[in-house]
Amino acid sequence: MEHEHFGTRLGRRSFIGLGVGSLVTALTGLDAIAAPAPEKRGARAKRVLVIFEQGGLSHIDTWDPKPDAPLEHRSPFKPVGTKVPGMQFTELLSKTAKFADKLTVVRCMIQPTPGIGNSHPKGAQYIYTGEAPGGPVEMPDIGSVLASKLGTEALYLPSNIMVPGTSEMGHLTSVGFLPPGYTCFKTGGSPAKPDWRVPNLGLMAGIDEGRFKNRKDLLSSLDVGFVNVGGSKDAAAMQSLMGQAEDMLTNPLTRKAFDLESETPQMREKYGMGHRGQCYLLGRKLIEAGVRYVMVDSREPMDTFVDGKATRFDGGGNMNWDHHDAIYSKSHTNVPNGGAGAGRYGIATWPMMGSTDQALAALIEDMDQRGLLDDTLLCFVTEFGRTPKMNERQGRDHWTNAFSFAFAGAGVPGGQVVGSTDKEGGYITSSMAYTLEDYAATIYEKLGIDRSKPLHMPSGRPIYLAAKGKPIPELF
Amino acid sequence: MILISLMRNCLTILLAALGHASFGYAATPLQKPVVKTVPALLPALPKAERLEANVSEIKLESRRAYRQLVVTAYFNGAARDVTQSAIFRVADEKIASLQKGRVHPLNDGNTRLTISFGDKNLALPISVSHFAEAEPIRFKSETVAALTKNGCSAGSCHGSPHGKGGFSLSLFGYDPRIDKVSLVRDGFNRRLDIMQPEGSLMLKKPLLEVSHGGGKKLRKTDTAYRVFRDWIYEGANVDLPAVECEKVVIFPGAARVLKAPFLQQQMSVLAYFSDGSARDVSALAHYESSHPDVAEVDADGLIVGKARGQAAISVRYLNALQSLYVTVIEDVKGFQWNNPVEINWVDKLVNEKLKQLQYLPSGTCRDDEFLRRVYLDLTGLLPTAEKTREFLKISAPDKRAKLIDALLDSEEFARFQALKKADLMRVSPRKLKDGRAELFSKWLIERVRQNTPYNQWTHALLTASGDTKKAAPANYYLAIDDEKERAEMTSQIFMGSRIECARCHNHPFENWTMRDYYSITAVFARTKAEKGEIKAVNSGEVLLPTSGERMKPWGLTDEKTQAKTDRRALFADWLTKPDNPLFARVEVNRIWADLIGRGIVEAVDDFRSSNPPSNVPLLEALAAEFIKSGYDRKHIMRLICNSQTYQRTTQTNDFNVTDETLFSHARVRLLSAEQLRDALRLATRSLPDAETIEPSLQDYQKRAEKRRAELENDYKTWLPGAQNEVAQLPLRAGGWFLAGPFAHSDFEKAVETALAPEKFPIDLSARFENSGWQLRPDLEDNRKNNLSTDNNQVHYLGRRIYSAKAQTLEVQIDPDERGRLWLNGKEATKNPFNNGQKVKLELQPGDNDLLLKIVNGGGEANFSFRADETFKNNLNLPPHAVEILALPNDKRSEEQKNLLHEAYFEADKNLNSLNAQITQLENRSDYATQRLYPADSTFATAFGQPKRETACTCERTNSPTLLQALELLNGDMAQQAASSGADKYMKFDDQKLIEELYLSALARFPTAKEIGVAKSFLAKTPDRKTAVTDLIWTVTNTREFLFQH
Repeated sequence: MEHEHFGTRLGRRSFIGLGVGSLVTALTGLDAIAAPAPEKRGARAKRVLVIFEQGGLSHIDTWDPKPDAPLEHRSPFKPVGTKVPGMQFTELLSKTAKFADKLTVVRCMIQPTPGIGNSHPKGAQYIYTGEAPGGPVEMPDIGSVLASKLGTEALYLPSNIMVPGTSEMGHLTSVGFLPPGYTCFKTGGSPAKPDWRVPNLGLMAGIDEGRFKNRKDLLSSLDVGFVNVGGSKDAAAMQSLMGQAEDMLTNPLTRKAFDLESETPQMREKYGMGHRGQCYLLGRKLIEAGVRYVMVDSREPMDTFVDGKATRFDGGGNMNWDHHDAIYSKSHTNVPNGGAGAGRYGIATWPMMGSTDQALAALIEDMDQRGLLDDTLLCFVTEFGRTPKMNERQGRDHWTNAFSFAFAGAGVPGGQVVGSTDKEGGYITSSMAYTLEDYAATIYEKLGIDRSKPLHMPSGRPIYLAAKGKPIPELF
Repeated sequence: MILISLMRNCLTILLAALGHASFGYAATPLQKPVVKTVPALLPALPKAERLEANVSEIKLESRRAYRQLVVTAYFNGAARDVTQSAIFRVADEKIASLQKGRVHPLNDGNTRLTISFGDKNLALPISVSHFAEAEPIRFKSETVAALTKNGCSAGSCHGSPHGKGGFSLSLFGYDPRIDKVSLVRDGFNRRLDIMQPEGSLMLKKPLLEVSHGGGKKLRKTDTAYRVFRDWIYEGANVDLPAVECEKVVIFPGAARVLKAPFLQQQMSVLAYFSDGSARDVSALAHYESSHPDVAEVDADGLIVGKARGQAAISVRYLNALQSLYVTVIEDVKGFQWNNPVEINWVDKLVNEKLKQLQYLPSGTCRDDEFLRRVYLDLTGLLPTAEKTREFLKISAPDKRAKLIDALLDSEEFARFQALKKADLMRVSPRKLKDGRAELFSKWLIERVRQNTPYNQWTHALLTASGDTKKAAPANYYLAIDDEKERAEMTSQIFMGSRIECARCHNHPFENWTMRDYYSITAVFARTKAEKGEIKAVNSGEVLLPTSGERMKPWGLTDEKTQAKTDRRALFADWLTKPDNPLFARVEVNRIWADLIGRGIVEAVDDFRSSNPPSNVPLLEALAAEFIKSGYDRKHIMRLICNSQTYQRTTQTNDFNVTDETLFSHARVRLLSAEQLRDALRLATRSLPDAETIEPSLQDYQKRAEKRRAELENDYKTWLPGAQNEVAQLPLRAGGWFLAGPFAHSDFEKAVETALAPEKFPIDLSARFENSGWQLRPDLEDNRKNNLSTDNNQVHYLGRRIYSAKAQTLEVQIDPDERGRLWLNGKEATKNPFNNGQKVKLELQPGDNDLLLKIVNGGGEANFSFRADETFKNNLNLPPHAVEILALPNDKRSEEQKNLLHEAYFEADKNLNSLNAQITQLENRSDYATQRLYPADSTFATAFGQPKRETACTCERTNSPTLLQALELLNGDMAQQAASSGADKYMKFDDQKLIEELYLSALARFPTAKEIGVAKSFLAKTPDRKTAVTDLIWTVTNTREFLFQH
C-alpha cells in the first residue's frame, strides 16, 4: 500500500511529468521563469553521522515494501506497521520501525545519469563526495570539505573519521585538492574484537607518558632561538599544530572517545555485540565527543567477534550488500555457477539485516535520549538499490533508478515518507526525485555552509559544492 | 595570428613596465582627489610642464559611437592622470556632449574640444558623421559583452558549468551561440518580451524588479541596461557569426605609478575587429583589480589608489584581456633609505623596487646560517659537522662564493636539481616501468651535471622519439599518453601557464582561449605511444569542440612545412627561441623561487598578465641574462646565491616586517619531505656523508669484479656437478614462455574464444600478430607477476614440467582476473576460474606441457602460480636455467649457454649482495634527495612529497599540517633516527656530544645556555641511551631544525 499523503506534493514542477525535480528544472530553467518560493533554510546541524551500508542495499526488501509486486519477483518479507500510522517498512526493519517517528524515509533517491555511479567504486565515491565521479576534478569527500570549512569542536580528535573504513570501497575516500590534513582518519580493525585499539592514536610503543613529557619539557626549553623569526607564519603554525598533536596523543579524552569498554554492557548489547553494532556505537561516541563528520561503513568481516567470542561466517568473504546471488539465502550466497554475488550472506541473516536493524534502532533511540538528534544529522545511505526483478541466480542486480535513504535529527521531520515508486519498486512515481548531489547539498545546507562561496583549487579554479544539487526541501 | 599577438602583447607589457621603473618624480603633499565641477574651491595643484590626451582628434562615425578621454599631465617628467581635474569645453554643444570624460555625438558636423589643466590647454578637433543612420545593437560585441561586464556570465553566476537558477550563459561569453539559445529560445521565450522590452525577465531580474538570486546587478543608468533594452526593442537580432574582436589596446599602456595627489587613473579601451574597424569599448569592457586593497577600479575604468603596493588592473572585452600594472606609492613615516650593501646587479634591481615602495632590506645572515641555507638549497642535504667547523674557521672574504662554486659542481647538486625537474615530468615507476623511470631520471641528472643549455635539452625532450627503454627523454611522452594532458603539462612546465581551463571554456583570467588550447594540443596529436615506443606519425588531428574546426598546430607559420615536419619540432623551435615571451622568464622565475622561497611571479606556473611579477625589471634582467649566457642555469643560480638578496637574514626590521613579496628579507621555509628525511638521518648520523658514496662505490665494484673472476674460474668444474644434480630431480619446471598480449573487446567472449597460441601441442616457434613465444625469466613462481597495465587483454603462459613418475601436483593459481588451464592439451579445470583456484595436476612420467590463459578486464593484468617446495633445488637456479641444464651439453644453443652462464653468476649470493650494494650506491637509494625516484612512506606523504601525478609544483603542500606534527612527535621515522643516532653519539662525552649534535643538526655551535640545559638533561636521566635518544629527538624537533632560515 502506498501512502502518497506522506510527502508527495504536486507542485508547480509536476506538469513536466518526468518527476526528476531539481534535475529537470536545472536543465530547462523553469526556476528562472516562475519565481521560486525562497528555499527554507534550516542550518541546525553541528555534526553529521553517515551510516554507509556499502554494496547497494535492496530498497524493496527494507524501506520500500512492495507487497503487490509480481509473485516471482516479490520480496518474501512482509510489510509491517511502524510507530507512525500508515508508514510501513518490511519486517527486516521491525526494530527500527518502533522509531519511525524520528525518521524521514526518502524513497525517491536516484542517480541522475545512468552509468556514472553504477559500480561499487564509482557509487562509493559518489556517496563520499556527493559529486558524480570521473569529472575533471578529483573532488574531496564531504567529510574533508566539512573539516576544512568548519574545523573541529574537539581539538584532540580528527574532525573527519571513518569507522572502521574496512568496507570493500573504504580505500576510495579522497581529500581531493584540499590539504592532506583534512584526510579522513580510519580507525581500522573491528571494534567488536575484545582487544581492539585504534592504531597511531596514542603514544608509540616504548614511549610512555612520562618520557614523552620529559621530551616535551626539554623541547620547550631548547626551541627558543627561533621565536618570531621573520614573523614567519609557518613557524608559528607548526608550533600550534605541535600543541594540537600533543593533545591528541596524550589527552585522556582521545582514548575515551574510542573506548567502548567505558560504555555499560547493557548499552553495548543494545546495539548488538557483533561488528556492526559496535561500529554504530562507536559512531555515536565520536559524534558525542564532538567529531564533525563520522562515516560508519560496517561490513561484517568473515572472521569476527560476537559476544566477545571468535566467530566465523563460513563462506562470507565480502559481506556487503551486493546481493547478485541468492539474496534470500539463510546462510552464505556461494551458489553453484554463481556470479559476482558470492561471498555475501543472505539479506535476512544476522550479519546482514539482523544486525543492521538492531544497531540502527539502538542508534536512533540512544541518540534521541542523549539529545544528540537535536544538532546531529543522521543519514542512512547506500550507493544504489537493487533490481525489482530477480535474476536467474535468485539474486538482484544494481538498480540506480530508485532507491531509499533515511534521515533523522537536526530538524529532519519525523514520521515522514518522501516520494514513491511503482508497484515493483522500479521507477519513481512521485513528482519529486532526489539525487546524490541533492543529498550532499542537504548536508551542506544543514550545517549552514554557504554553497554560493566556492572552494578554490591550488590552481585558483573555483569549485562549487554540490553544484548540481539542491537541499531536499522535505528534510527542512 | 593569435600566436603573434600573444607574444607581442606579453612583450609590450613587460617591456613598457620595465621602462616606467626609471621615472623620477618629486614628492608632493597629500591632497584629496579633485572634483572638476568646483575648480574654484580646489587647493592649488602643482604646475604641469605639459598636457597630453590619449587622442589627437575625435572622429565619431555613428550615432552610438563615443570616445573616452584620458588626460595626462607631466611633472618633472613623470606622467600623472588629470582626467578628473581637467576642464573640458565643447565649442558647439549641438554637435557633441561630454559625460564622464566621454565624448558623445549629437549631430553631424565639426567642432572643437578644449581641455584645460592649470595654465596648460589642449585643443582637439571633433567630427561627427552618420548620426542620422540607424545602428542596431550588435549581439556579440555589445549584448554578450554587456552580460560579461555586469557579471551575468561570471563563473559564480550564470557562467558556471551548470548555470544558476536554470539560466546558463557561456563563461565570459566565450561561446555566443550558447548565449543566443539561452536568451532567445529557452525558458519558453519568456526571458525576452519584444512587444514590451521593459517587461523582459532579462531586465526585470537583474534590476531586482522580480526576485533574482544574484541580487541587484543592473541599474537603469548602466550602459548595459541600454544595450539590453535596445537590443530587445530592435527584435533581439542575433547576427552570428559576428565579426571577431582581434585585440584590444588599453590606454595608458602597460604600467603607471600613482602617487598623491594624483591617486587616480582613467583608462580607455579601443577594440579592433576582424572587419578592420576599431571602436571605443571603454563602457562595455569589464575591469577588475588583482589587489583591490591597493587599487580599486570602477565600472567606468577609473582606478583609485588605496594603499602602498602593486596591483594589476585587468581589462576584459570578449576574448581579449589586457592588464595595466599600477604601483601605488605612499610615504612611510620615518622611512629613510640607508644604502644597503649591494653585491651584484640583482641587489640593485631588488633594492630599487624596495626603495620605491619604501621598504628597508634586512642585513646579511651569519656564516652558519648561510652554510645551512645554501647546502639545503643546492644539494638538498645538511652540511656535516666537519664541513661546518671548516667553513666557520675560514676567514677569506670570498669563502661564500667559493662554497657556492663547489656546491654547484657537486654530484649532490645534479641529483637534487634533477629531482625537481623529475617531479614536474612525473617520473615514477608506476607509469614508467621496467627501468624506464631510472633511465629518464639518469638522463635528467646528466643534463644538470653537464649543465646542458636549457633550451637544448628542452628541445631534445619535446622532440624525443624511440623505444622508451633506450631513448630516455621519450619517456616524457610515455608518462602522459593523452595529447590534451601533454599540452597542459608542457604549457605548465615550460610556459608557466595553466591552460587547462581553456579545455572547456576560454580562460577566465588570461588570454588563453579554447583556440589556443586546441592548437597546442594539435602539436601532440601526432605523437603516439605504441608498445613502449614513442613515434611521430603523419596522422592525427584536433578539432575545436565548439565549431569542429580542424586546428593548426601551435608554432606552424608556413602550411607547406607542415606535411614533412614533426609538429613538435615546430613547437619546440617557437618555444626555445630567444624572443619567446615565456620560456626564459618562466625558468629564471622557477630558479628564483627555488632559491629565495617565492617567485617573482607567484605561483611559478601561473604567468598571466593579471598576475603581475612583483619586480618586473628584475625578472626581465634575469631572463635577458639567462638568454645571453646560453640558457646556463648554473650561471643564474650562481648569480642569485652570490647576491646580498639571497644572503639576507630572516630577521625583519620595522620597515620590512610586512613585506612578503619584494625580497627585503630571507624567508623561513619548512624543509621539503626529501630534505627533512635526509636531514633527520644525517643529523643522527644514520646516513653517511654523501661524499663517501663515490669511494665506497669503487670499493664494492672492485670486490664484485674479483668475485666474478673467481666464479668464472669455477664454472667448468661446477657445470658437470650441477648437470648431475638436475638429472636426479624427481620434479622440475621450466621457465615461463609468454605469448601476447592480445586485445579483446568482450571479457566473457575472450575467456571462451581460442586464440592462436591456444593450440596443442604447444609450438614455441609459432608466430602470431608480429610476435611469438618469448622466454620470460623474470616471471617467478610463488609471487604476483605483473604482465601489463592495460585493460582488456589476453595473455598466454606456457611452461614444461618434468616428472620422474606419474604423480599429482597441487598448485594454486591467481589469474587476474579469469584464467583457464590446460595440461598436455586437456583442460585441467571444469570451468574458467578466478583468484585462489587450487588445481590438482595429474602429471604423466616425463615432460608435461602446461598452458595458462589469463584474461583481464579492467586494471592491470597479473598472475601468480604457487606450488609448494617441490620445484626448489639446491643450486639456487631459476626454472629456465634448470631446464637448460637438463638438456644434453651438445643440445644447448648459444643463447641457452649464455642464459645458463648468467644464471650461474646470479645464483651466487655473495656476488648478488655486492651487486645490490653497488646498485644502491649508484642510485643513491638511501638518500631521499638524491635517489632516482621517490620512495613512498607515510612520512614523505605527510610532508608533501609529490605523487608525481601532475606537472604542478602545487602538488607539494608547503604549509604545516597536523599530520606532520604527529609524524614528528610520534612517528617511527623521527623515533628511529633518534634512537639509531644515540648509538653513534653515545661514545662522546657530554660536551662533545652536544657540540657534535648541534653542528650536525643546525650547522652551528650550541650556545652556553643550550649546553647547560642539555647537560643537565643528560645528567638527570638515568639511562644513558634513553637520555641521548631523547636529546637527539628534541633537537630534531626544534623549529630551527625543521625549517630553513
